[in-house]
Amino acid sequence: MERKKIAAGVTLCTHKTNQFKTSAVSLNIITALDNKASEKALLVHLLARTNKDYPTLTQMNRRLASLYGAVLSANAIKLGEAQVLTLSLVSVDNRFALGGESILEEGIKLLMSCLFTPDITPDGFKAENLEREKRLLSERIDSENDDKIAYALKRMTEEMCCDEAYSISPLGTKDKIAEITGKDVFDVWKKLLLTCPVQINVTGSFDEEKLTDIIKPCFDRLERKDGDIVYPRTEFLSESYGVKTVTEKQKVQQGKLVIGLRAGMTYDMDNFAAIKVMNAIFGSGTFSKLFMNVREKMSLCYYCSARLVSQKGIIAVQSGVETENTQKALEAIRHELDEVRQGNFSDETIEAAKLSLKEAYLSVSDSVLSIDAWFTSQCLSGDFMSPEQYIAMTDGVSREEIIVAANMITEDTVYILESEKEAE
Amino acid sequence: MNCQLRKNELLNEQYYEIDHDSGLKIFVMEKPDYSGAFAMFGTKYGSVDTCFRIKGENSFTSVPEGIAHFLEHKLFESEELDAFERFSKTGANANAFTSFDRTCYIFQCSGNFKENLEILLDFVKAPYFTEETVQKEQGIIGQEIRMYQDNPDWQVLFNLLRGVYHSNPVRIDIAGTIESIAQINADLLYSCYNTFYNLSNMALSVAGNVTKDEVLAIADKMLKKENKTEFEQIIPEEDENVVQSYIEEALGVDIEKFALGFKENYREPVRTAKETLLMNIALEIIAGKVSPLYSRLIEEGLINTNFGKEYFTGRGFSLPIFTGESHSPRKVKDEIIEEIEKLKEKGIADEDFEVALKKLYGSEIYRYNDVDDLAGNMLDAYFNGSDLFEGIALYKTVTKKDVEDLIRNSFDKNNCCLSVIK
Repeated sequence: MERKKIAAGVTLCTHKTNQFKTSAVSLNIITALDNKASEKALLVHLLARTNKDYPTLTQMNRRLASLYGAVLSANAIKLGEAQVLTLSLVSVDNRFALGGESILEEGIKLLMSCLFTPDITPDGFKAENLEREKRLLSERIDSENDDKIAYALKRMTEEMCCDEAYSISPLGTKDKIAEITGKDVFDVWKKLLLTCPVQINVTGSFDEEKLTDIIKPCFDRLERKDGDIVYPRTEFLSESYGVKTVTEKQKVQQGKLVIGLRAGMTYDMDNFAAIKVMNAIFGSGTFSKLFMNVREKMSLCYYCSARLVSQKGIIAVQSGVETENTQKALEAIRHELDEVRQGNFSDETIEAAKLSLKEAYLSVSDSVLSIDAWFTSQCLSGDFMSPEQYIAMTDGVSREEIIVAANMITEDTVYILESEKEAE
Repeated sequence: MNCQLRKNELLNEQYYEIDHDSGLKIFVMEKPDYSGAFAMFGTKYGSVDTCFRIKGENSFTSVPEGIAHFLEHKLFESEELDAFERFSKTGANANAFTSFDRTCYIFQCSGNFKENLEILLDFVKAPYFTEETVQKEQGIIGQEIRMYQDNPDWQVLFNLLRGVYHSNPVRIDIAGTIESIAQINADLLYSCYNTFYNLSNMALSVAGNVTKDEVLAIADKMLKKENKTEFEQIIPEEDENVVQSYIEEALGVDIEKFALGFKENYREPVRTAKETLLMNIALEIIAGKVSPLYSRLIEEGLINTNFGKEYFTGRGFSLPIFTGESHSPRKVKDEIIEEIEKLKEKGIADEDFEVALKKLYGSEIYRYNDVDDLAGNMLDAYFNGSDLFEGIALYKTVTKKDVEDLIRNSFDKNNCCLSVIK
């Protein structure tokens, strides 16, 4: 795994291997998560749907089919308080091309043309494309809200970070999407091209020189300057100023409980390894306190786990419980965190946590998509780190450091989705 | 012991198929350039197996809905350390799942493979159920059931199955209901276990950075020879027609979900690799991303990117399904049927057939990338009476006419059901 700079604000991450039968390319535009999130999310979806060479859905989809069913997709995620806009293409490896064509190079050319030559007029993105994409994005937001696990996590985050950019959804909001014009997206597109860091990830078998020859001129042509590139920053609140509780009611069968914790971090790698091991002991994995006690011993839930978002320094505990058991579960989760703070866990549990994290790091190199995701997860850090370096960090964590990390945690927000059952 | 090496030159892949002396079928694909390995130990036993007897027994046992899934949860427990605790000492990532017609226990690891395989073979072959541990699990699974009740994608599928099938047990929820799992007890679990967890009804499939000899050494050590348990099942007669053509439920979703299924009536319980491929080509041609229908539905605002199609098959059931989200599911249904009728009448254009074939050939290759897929696909192929490489070889043999015939036979506009979640 390698990362290098190929143009102003443009880095190329490559993992060259014959291990897989497919290759993956992703083009990641890194921008601040701000009040233009809706426009940016809409933009990346527009770019992936059609372009000047393939201006209709059918033409674009036929082109992808001719590349042996290559899959082109768009996404907008948040990484700390950065919004990462991704265009990605997964295709079969060149050696399976029946006519000897280079599928990967053709795929990268297609991605470049999506980014640089969209189907636009001097006034901006065309109305028919815009309206279609506005509908599709709004429906995607609806669809996410229909997933109650995702919805509850999103609501907790909005409440916890209400004064921080992190509360902004990377897909935008339906209200804002409705108002966007073709000119708005056009302006955002122009600005992003000139000022945003871009990271391109390529995994598979390829000739690196050829890749660079396709990619580099596209960016050089824009006359991007190093001094103009804006790197997003994330605000870290290392501790909570008191617990906020928010309760909502919906007609659901199962209530949801999501607890937001501040992890005591002031930047993304601040005490990272110790917090990661601590979080595993507390709530990720079948050996964790939450699984062993809240699920297995108390039978309160099917899932109860803690997830560390190091790019923002927060931990989210998620569970699905009967509404009448909410307080019991909340107390049980708090109790387990206290147990970790007091050092009430065995050396075997520390070992299990480390082994499980190591397993996750080791398995990164076994899948095209996980390698791509690894590259993306590193796109904001100055130094690229490999999974092996993370393993070394994990190994070095001591019991004392875990306890210190647990004592840095403060509870911030409790979000409860109550089940409001109809009278039976 | 019989060991065969199966090869495919196009994919440059090979795997071993072994008839182990214990009676277990074992598959191993050695992938030395991967860092990890994946193992799957499965039985041909799932939620559809609801009424059975061991050959020679007097009466059939009817079991509560959801018992196969319940049994899966309970096998992790033992008198001493449970399986999760054992795997936590080796670092493996272990899990299990129950589907309509199988139950599988899995782990993925990048080290300690032999130890992990020992644990897997040991805990699955050492049932331990007591009334207390059964009760404890009812709370956990109860919450799993509740979680799925709030999942509109899951509900739209099960409602569809209840709208299509009168008595086929595929219409039962895999995890059962809060009421049905309350009837489960240790005796019933043992009865299911003894019938379906016989090695002759199971298979072990491994792919990754391991060797066949490593796998066999552990199998030799852990598995005792078992005599084949023969069992009989009562499979209810199924009416040829759907139960109802429309079924809906209100969950208060922001955007309606739909599933449209066309009932097929095959005598043979399992679809062959060829039948499956033909159906996948048909679905691609009818409503794949390259089809005119797909673009039209998107442009008309009738579907979004969550639209999909699937050949939903397993032991005893097969149903081509179109799923998605829409503000007017009935219109989507009408347009899909119109497209199918057009294809029945006019046939498939040569170019459309070629494009669909090339796309599916590509997606077939995707299945050979990850060790979990490889192990899972070897096991699936075996349970379906096929072998892993049969699928890719078929691409050279299928014809446009095969697909046209299938569309005429399998898509009856008067025998389909639309399920909607509002």
